[in-house]
Amino acid sequence: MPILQNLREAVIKGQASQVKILAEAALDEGLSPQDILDQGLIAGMKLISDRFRNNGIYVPDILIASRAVHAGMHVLKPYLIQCGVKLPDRVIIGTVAGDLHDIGKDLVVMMLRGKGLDVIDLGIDVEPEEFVQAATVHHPKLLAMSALLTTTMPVMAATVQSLCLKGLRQQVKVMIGGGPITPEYSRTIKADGYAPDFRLAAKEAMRLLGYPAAG
Amino acid sequence: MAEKTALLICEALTDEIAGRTPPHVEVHAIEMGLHDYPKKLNQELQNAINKLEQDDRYEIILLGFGLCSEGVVGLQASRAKLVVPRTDDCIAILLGSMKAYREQFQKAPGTYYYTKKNIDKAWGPLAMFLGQHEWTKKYDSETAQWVAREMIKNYTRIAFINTSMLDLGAYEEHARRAAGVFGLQYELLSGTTSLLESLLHGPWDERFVVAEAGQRISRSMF
Repeated sequence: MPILQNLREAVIKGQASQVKILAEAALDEGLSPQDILDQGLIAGMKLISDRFRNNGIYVPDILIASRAVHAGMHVLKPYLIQCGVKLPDRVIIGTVAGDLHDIGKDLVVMMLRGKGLDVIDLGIDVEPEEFVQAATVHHPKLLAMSALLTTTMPVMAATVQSLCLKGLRQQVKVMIGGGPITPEYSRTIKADGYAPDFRLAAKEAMRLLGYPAAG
Repeated sequence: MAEKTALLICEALTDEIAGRTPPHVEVHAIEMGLHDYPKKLNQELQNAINKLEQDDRYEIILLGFGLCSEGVVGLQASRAKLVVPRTDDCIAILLGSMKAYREQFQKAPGTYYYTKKNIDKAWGPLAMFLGQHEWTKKYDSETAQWVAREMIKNYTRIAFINTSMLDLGAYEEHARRAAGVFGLQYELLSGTTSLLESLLHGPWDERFVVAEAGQRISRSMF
């Protein structure tokens, strides 16, 4: 569909007002809000993430594209509430204590909500006890943590240990991500999953939740 | 006679070693900012080590880096000893120790640290705000300002680390202006070149990770 193609391009260029207009036009053409989200907005984000680090695409370009996606999601929201995909799984997510870098985490939240998951965002500077408290109250199937600093990475390990101590570890999958995080570190702290970027984080979350792999 | 030594150092720290390098140490600067791409940093460093080892005169390779987003984890030299400051990043190196860094981190975890070098390179939130930063050059001023505010939104403090300059002049003014533009606290911090000088001259005590020839640098060494 040319309109979805135009929508993807507007997302890549970060044209928020254009994205809003195109999302409205796509609804008028009778496209389903879920398709507009998946094949327009989220697909645009995936395309720009592919170009990240290789073709002069930097963090600000991703930020501007995500602002455009939010503008489009705002248009789609009332329709998605009525007829979008809703998955029963709850995810809690946060950037660990001492760390204030949430650009990547916010992108993951956007992608997971795009998948129809119920995401509770605990924000930044989240202590292990706060993760545990949220896990106790909200019964998530997945707990996701981000860190950009090597100095704050140990909070991830502390959170996994706290979940164990409270007897919650078997009830929740844990995934981690962020600049310095590696698969080795994920294994070391006995997390269930790891993703190197926001795009793959959505994929990894779906895998951990037991959904079949999609494109 | 001193052992033949090479220093691979991040460009972020080259001002601090200028004029301090002993004659037996050969200096190679590595592009700054690669901590954002730790795999690439790791590859660049390993390639540089391999290249140096083709010339087997080097007995010691010093790394003017910290853990740097784990960019140094896994590095290995087959014939030379590797020495790297036991710090998380260059901020701790410029402040002189991990202890000094932790004190600042406790005080204000959301601190953007300016140095002479990152101002010279038009890095940092103010350069981004003004559209002078490589990342925001292509944007109109409204977008560049929005980006800069987004990038710094959780920060509370701007600090300038002074390692050696007698006259801070325009540099400090830049950092102060950044604090003003974003409505953040400003602080001038005293830096030091002492850790870098110890890297160059020794002793390589507990402040350093030392990997013997053939030994891989691991995260647990930090």
